[in-house]
Amino acid sequence: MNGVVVLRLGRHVSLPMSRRFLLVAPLLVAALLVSMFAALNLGSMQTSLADALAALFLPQDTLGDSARTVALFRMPRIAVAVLAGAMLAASGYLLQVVSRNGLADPGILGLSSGATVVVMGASFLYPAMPIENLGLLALAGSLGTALLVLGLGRNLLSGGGIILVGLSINIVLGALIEVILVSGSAMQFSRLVTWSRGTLSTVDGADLRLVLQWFVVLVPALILSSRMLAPLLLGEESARALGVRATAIYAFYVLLAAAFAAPVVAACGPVAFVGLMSSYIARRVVGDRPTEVVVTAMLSGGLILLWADTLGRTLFAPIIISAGVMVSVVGVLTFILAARLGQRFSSRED
Amino acid sequence: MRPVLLTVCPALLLIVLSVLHLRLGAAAMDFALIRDAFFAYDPTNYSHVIVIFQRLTRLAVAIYTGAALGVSGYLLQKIMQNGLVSPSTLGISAGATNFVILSVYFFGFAGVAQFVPALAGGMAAVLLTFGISHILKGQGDPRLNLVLAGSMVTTLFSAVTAFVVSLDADAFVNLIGWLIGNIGNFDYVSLAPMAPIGAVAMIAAVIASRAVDILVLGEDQAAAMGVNVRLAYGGTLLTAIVLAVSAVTVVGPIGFVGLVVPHIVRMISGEIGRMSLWLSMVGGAVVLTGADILARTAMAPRVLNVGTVMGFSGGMVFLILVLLAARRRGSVA
Repeated sequence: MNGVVVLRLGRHVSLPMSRRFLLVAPLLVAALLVSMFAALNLGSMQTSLADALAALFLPQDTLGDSARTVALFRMPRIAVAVLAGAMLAASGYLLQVVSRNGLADPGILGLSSGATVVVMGASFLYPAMPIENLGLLALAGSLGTALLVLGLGRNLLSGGGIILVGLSINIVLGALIEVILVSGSAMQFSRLVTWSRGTLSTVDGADLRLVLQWFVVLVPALILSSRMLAPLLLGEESARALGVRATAIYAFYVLLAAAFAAPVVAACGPVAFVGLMSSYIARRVVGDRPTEVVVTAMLSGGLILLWADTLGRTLFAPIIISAGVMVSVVGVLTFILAARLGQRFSSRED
Repeated sequence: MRPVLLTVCPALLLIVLSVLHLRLGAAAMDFALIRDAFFAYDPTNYSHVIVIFQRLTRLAVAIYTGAALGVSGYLLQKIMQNGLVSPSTLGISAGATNFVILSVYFFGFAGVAQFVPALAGGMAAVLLTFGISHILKGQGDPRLNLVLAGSMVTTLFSAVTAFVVSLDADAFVNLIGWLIGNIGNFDYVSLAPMAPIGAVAMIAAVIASRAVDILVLGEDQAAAMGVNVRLAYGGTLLTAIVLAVSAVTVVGPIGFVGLVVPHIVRMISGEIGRMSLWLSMVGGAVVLTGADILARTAMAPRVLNVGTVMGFSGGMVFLILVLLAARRRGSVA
């Protein structure tokens, strides 16, 4: 690690931060803001700068038609993409620490599929389910799957073992999703199929509110607790030897990881690989310090999902590639790269 | 006595399941009616038409694809000495599906001609899987790495497939059932030209079985015993791919038949000799026929996809196999 700067505020707050993080984080924030603004203007419908600005700053009633479209559809979509990407990144990083495997991701370990099954089953049985409840249901699904996968894969954390456990759970859950799909009416079917592949094209204001609520609650919890992640990186036994109540902390982070993934699934369906990619990038850019890695990962996660969605809807317009597909293709390549270079991550921990 | 029993019993089981397959369904048919449909076919009797043109054709497809996938999985697991590989876990099914969809979209391929892109896709997928597992080499269990590589190849191909389908959803409406991996009412049409290809591949597997038995002893030993290692390995791999691809061409990517069946076969008769080959052929047919019966009766009158039934049960078996493989590795280390 290169130079460390200590940020002191009064007597009680002192935050050691690496120079690299202090350089990278503002750059990422700037990139994110520029990208959001660019995404607002890009699309099958050209938006004038004035409309975009009006949609951002003026109250909705006073808007003209085109600015209104931007405010109602494009802005929620962009906001959800950024928030969802960041939450998936946080979930992925926590899972990587808890499973001590640099390839973990809510999509790959099956958390997203678990949430998908529960959400689909519920909205099939009770079609009028309000979206607020879907978040909690998704949490039940993702948490259940996380406990199942981590419980079964406890003894094969390093290497590909736990990933394969997650993949096989994914296959079983995928079959369950197909069962639910064929049980519904044709109307439900077409709606659920789009959603079950992971897409942002159905996102609206209600989804944004849901994701935002969870984001506002979870992110402070994560940032405030992120110092406790450091001892876990040394492995469970070393952490215990340092006097850390490892079991309780593990349980807390598994819950947090599941909670980060849940609202994303409820809003835009299962999207895999964002957590894997962003944590991988973050670790390579800023090193080990958990708070720094998780913040960097969340910023890059937001960037990744935003660009996946924006490119997906503009690159071959009027053809729309769903963000899920875009992310999978790039994600597989990152997975291979990460697995190749993953030895460093795991050897540092073991 | 034992060889005779092993030859006859599975075949009897398959016959029993076949009769059940004809009998059970949205409308149950009694045995007399099935017998009449076979021996005194009356084209004006609606039940006879259902037995022959809906259930018998479906049964034939299930038996053929089950047998082909069973043998394919058995050959793959044998030459690679890896109980986790199969046409679906190596990405062969996904690759074949992807190339077929591409050929339909860009060149309008239809019917039997789809076998060509399917074969190319299957081979491309295997090469890609080998390549990726080579990149992963040097960490973790090489057997798990191969499957990990296969699942990544599957993800890659199915993402591209989903994208191509979304380009022109209307053009692929008729292929939706095939894409999920299902036995459709008209699949027997493409079964007719595929069956000879599959038969040739099965004969090749029988002829090569001796050489492959020796190959399992290790490459050096096999070479010392006069086996052309490269030819035996490459030929068997090709045979397995052809068998799997011929099944995919007919019914789409139905997974896990090729993964599960070889394990049952090894429990019964070990891995050496032609008896195992016969058993994996009949075993595959039994498994897929059984799955199809379940698919049609479990949620009747709704018909599930056979691919769904196999995914559900096969996924669980796969999970158990992964856990067992990891435990065995742990006890050795």
